[in-house]
Amino acid sequence: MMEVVPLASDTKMRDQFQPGAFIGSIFITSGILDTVNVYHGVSGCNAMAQHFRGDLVPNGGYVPIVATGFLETEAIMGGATKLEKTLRDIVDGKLGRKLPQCIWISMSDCPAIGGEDIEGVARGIAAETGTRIVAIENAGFKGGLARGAELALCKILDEVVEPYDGKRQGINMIAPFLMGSANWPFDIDHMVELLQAAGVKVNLVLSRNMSFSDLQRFPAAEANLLLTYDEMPDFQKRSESLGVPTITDDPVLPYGIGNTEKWLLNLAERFGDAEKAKRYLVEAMGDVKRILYRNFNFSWMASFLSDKYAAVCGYAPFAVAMTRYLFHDLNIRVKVVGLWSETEAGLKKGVSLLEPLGDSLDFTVLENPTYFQLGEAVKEAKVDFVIGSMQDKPLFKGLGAAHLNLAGFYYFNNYNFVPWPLVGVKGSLRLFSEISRVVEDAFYESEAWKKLAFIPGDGRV
Amino acid sequence: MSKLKSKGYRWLPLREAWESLPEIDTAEFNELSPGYEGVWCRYLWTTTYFQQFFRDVVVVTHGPLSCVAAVKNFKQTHYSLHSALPFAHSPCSNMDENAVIMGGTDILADTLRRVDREYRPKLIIITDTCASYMIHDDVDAVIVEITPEVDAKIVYTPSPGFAGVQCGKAVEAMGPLVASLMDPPGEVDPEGVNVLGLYYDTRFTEAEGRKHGGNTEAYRHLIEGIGLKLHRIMNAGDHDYLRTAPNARVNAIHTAMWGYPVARAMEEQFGTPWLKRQLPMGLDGIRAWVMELAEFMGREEEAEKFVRSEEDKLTSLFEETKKWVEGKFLLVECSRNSQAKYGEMVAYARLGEELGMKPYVYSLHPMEFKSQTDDLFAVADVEGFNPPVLVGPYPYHEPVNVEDVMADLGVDQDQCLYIYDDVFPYAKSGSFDPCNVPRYTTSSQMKRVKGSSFLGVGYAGTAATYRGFIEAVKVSRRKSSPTFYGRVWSSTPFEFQFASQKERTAS
Repeated sequence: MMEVVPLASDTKMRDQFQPGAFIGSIFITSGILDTVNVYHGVSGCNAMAQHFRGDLVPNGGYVPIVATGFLETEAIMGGATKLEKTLRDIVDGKLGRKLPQCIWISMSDCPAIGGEDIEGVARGIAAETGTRIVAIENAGFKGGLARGAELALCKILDEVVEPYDGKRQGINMIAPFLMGSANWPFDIDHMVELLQAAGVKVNLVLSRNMSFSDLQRFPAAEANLLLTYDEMPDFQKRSESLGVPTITDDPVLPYGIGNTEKWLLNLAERFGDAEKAKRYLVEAMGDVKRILYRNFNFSWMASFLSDKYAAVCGYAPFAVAMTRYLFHDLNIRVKVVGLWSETEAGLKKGVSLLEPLGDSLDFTVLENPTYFQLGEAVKEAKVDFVIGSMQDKPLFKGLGAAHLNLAGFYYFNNYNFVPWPLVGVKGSLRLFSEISRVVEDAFYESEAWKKLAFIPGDGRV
Repeated sequence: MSKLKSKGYRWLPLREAWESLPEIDTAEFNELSPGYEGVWCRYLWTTTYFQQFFRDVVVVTHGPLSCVAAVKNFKQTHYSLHSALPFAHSPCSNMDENAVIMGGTDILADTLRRVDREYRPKLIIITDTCASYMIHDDVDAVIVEITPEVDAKIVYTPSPGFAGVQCGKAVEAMGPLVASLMDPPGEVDPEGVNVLGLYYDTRFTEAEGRKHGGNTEAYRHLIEGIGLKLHRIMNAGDHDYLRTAPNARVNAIHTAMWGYPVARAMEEQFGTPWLKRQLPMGLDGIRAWVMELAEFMGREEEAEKFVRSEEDKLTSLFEETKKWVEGKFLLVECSRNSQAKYGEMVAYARLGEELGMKPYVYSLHPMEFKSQTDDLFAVADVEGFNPPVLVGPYPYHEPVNVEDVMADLGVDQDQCLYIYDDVFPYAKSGSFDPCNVPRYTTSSQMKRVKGSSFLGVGYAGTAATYRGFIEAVKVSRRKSSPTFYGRVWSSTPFEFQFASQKERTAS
């Protein structure tokens, strides 16, 4: 039976990890490699932006974020002069970089509340220099990552993408960083491979390893696949007016064999070749079996971790997929699921995708829980391990539960440098290897090894 | 003319370097050093500082969730993972656009009630952000309203990000805030000594199960060595630990930047006297720190015995280290990334000078340098140490390349030892790698040595540094097999490539 602990409707208080809107925008713009970000705001927020931009580096590219240097003086007197100077310096090549195809401007709370006219400055410098400049009013208080991504996407559709009248084929994959996987850069790359193997054309990944001119391809897709459960109504409306609707049935992300089969066949049936997809799945499983079939280590671990108890917490798409993977693929009883989402719709979708498990599993779903609530729930459930993010590792390990950081973002979240996915049939090898490590951590009796260790000469007369 | 000079860099003694710079946050400074943006902000510094009070203290952020994420994204997570701090619950009033327009006092009040009811802390510290501060949300009024309804003590520590972008400025503002959390002194322990000025670490020791501690142990050793008692080591502990800090006889200092503001505030509020020496590392540095404390407490004789005994234990290591490094240039890189502080690195420079090395300090952003007046006073005036510092534009925080520094100083790889702070070291296989240039990790983020202070203080910390210097020089003798890191950052990752590059250069 699934028990849902809803988010208290009478409070706005939160205690969870949710970067603000400008970060979501920067995630979108930083996958467009021949562009530059300008950040107009206070340094504390900029540090976060710089860090997260690094998510796009592995097998990707490096899009600079140039800060305007907004200090206390600018908070009081206005920062337009510094913004103008930074934009001109970029255009004039004074920062040692070649002229970008577009400059994106993001901002933080302080200049937003101070009424800084970044759009006006952008227009002025664009007219003066002939350089494309897109200003996004995306202060942190405007929302979270999904909202910030939406703001950037709307600007792209409003100011960059031209209408299109030609043939439409395939799908756009939107905002892969919102999936909630710390391995998302490698996961999205393989999701594209999966779809291509199933005859589905991937028109664009917005955004990863794109050029600015690639954006013009946006309307050549049949549909958008939003890689978040949070709604983006403003983006969806604009996209529809360009002739590209958005898929609304939100298949579960392809973590684990069971989820991969459903996800791939769902999309193949609509946009590709279902038979091709099936052939691919069988072939890929053959590759996995070559490693695991009759492999003693695999059989040992698959048997050992069966029937154990776990908790999962993270952004809804990944948390849902991981819960289903652990239960269906590994026979692990997930007792607690902490679902994070920025919108009601996101939470609802997540819960609805977990509901079918309630027929065969007793578990609790916490909607947008505080870390405190999560900790108490995990303590009470006496789980063996938790799948979460690096940020919550000290919480859960402090409560005595083993912990594996697979959720969240790439930045500072893991030390995996092997460009291998966690998604798909292929990814099941790495996914299983990761789960094996946390199971080892959960069950190795290292305190006993320390306390009962051989002491040379102990007790000898 | 060297590349550095052509870019407008020059070496000046520390005090002169500081005086040559204009006032911070002025048009003149913006011209001199364009693109200064800072690293963190006052909100971030304040929140992470207070989150080191654990177990029964909760820091509530009045602002958007994004600001809490900025704290958790790196700093707080890093402190937990790598410095034994427990998880910091971070409830937030979650200001959105509506609250920015209409005001956020209601949601703050609600948050405080919930935190008191669910988390049940002894103390709630409210930090605020750019958003809440700019709209002048009356936090004090909320506290007055809520206090009768809750059991926790609630204190407001104003911390809007924009009001302290420069490190020194943000930290200076914290002194009175920290003191405001303390109770007036009750019974003062005549032998009690506080150590102020650790800005991240906690007092969980190796004896208690910590893998790599050493900082608390180092100060305990110095203080108990002369028959006194370590009362509080700040910033750490639970609410009772914090609020009874004024029951010490005197405040001693770890770092001036972080310790002086708190010490000044405690003197002003509680009359607690304080000492000026910081960062006891190196034999002379430790002696000066211990003797200053001893003179204040009337323990000169015990101190002299203690210090002599400890120095005797280290003399042969000191002499051996000197043999390996005397005459070398100590390249003291404040940080390629943040360029934000120098106190700790200059303490290493001082230690190096004791060994007969010639320290040169660089990659210190002039804006940050100018904002850190307490460190300047402690180093130049109290210690009388005035090493050369590289002053220049550092435009857009561009790090100064250590190879350019070497070229400017006219030194080769065998004539230097490279130390660095924060993240990350410079390395390039084929020219500058630990395999050919001695590099020792002094960064407080990266250095961890069992059985000694990772901040380098105390006798065990000093011994670890001496051994580390010797090892670094030995490692660099191999002149081959560069590190993985050095290869990743180089256009010549393989030895066959730099062999052919040398041939091309020669011909």
